[in-house]
Amino acid sequence: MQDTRLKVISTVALSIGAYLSVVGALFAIAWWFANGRLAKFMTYPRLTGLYTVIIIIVAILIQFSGGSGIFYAIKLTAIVLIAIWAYDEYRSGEMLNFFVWGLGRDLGFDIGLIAEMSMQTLTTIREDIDHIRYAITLKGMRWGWRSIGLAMPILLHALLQRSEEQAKILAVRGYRHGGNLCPIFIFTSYDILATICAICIACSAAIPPGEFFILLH
Amino acid sequence: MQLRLDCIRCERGRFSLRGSGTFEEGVHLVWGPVGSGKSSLAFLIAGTLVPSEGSISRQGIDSLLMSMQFPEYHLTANTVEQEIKLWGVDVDRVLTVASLLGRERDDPLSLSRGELKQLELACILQKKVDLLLLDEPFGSLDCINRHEFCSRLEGRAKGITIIFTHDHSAFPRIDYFWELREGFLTFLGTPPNALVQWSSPPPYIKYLIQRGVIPKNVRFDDVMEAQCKIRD
Repeated sequence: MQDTRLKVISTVALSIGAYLSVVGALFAIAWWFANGRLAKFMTYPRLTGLYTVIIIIVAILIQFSGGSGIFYAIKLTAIVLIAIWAYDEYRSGEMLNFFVWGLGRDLGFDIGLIAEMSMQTLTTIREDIDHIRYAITLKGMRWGWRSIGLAMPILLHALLQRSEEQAKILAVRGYRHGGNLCPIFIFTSYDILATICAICIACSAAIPPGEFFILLH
Repeated sequence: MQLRLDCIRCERGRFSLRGSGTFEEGVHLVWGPVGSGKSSLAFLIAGTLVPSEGSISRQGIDSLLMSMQFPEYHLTANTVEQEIKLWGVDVDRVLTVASLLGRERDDPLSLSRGELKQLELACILQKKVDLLLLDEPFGSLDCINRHEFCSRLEGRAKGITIIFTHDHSAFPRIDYFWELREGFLTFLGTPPNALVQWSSPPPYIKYLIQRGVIPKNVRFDDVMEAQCKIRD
């Protein structure tokens, strides 16, 4: 999906659908399958494993404390899958395009710029962790809880340093607020169809099927 | 002792890095402009990145160390002294070499990037390893420290040393020259002939070659000697 607007609408609609009802969550998972994301998801084995373990633990706790752990697991799985899909579909610059389109060249540009920087930071954090992890193994230490504790201040320091440098660059270039940008969006009929399906999923979750049929009468 | 790259290929987004070659014992320079894939190649050789195609084999290499471009990544302690001890090297010697005497109890993150780089390089050069990878070792160092580092590097007894850099300002004696051209690792040969093959040599070497004098190597002394030949 190339059009950021459709991507955001789909993400929000599917998340709402998955949050509101189990049926909505199941439809959201089906939507995710239809978009052929399974293979892509499997390329993140560590992430898949981490989320699976967290979801299972919380679901068991809910089940034993009298709640519905299975429903929780289905809903959260759908939300996580959609979140990973949205992150995976992200392309550099599209946040700026989206917010300028939605909120204009002043506020929209500022929010878009912050969003863009945040997305880029997620990528650099991943690289930073890999580098720190490697540095720790170079000293003959094992990557564990103790080394994670050592890595945190370095990671934080690197982030603050990078933020300061970015702020200085913006200031030196004379940035105050807002900016000129003409967002361009490209979409296909398939993207529109997928977005309509996502909206339908949100609606089906928000309106119980019984009431929907009464409305038809 | 040999490091062999066999038709490796690594893709990161739109960028693709390819290459083959054998790294023998000695000092190798892998030169390439910013964004040419030097760090990726260093991480591939270090084993933290896996090539999508081809293979990397190490013969007779039992130990490996890599100096990363940003020295902050190497920090794992709360004081400079602890940091040096974690490397398992002599504290006083490192403090002297890195010009950090009296700052043992300082937080390493309070040091400037240049000081951190000196600390990290001083620790790394104290270690005896078969394969030493140096990713942009001259970054953040001032001119004097660059030349001092080059001298210390030449004192490394044996093993394979690979310097990955885009820098032109200071070099130790180099045994083998490589260049990254549009994502492809190219072997240029040994000095002095390799200097003629170099697509973007330092301006002073380019000038010498244009005047018909090829320096023996890329060290400051070699360049000065070649400069004298022009005057003759």
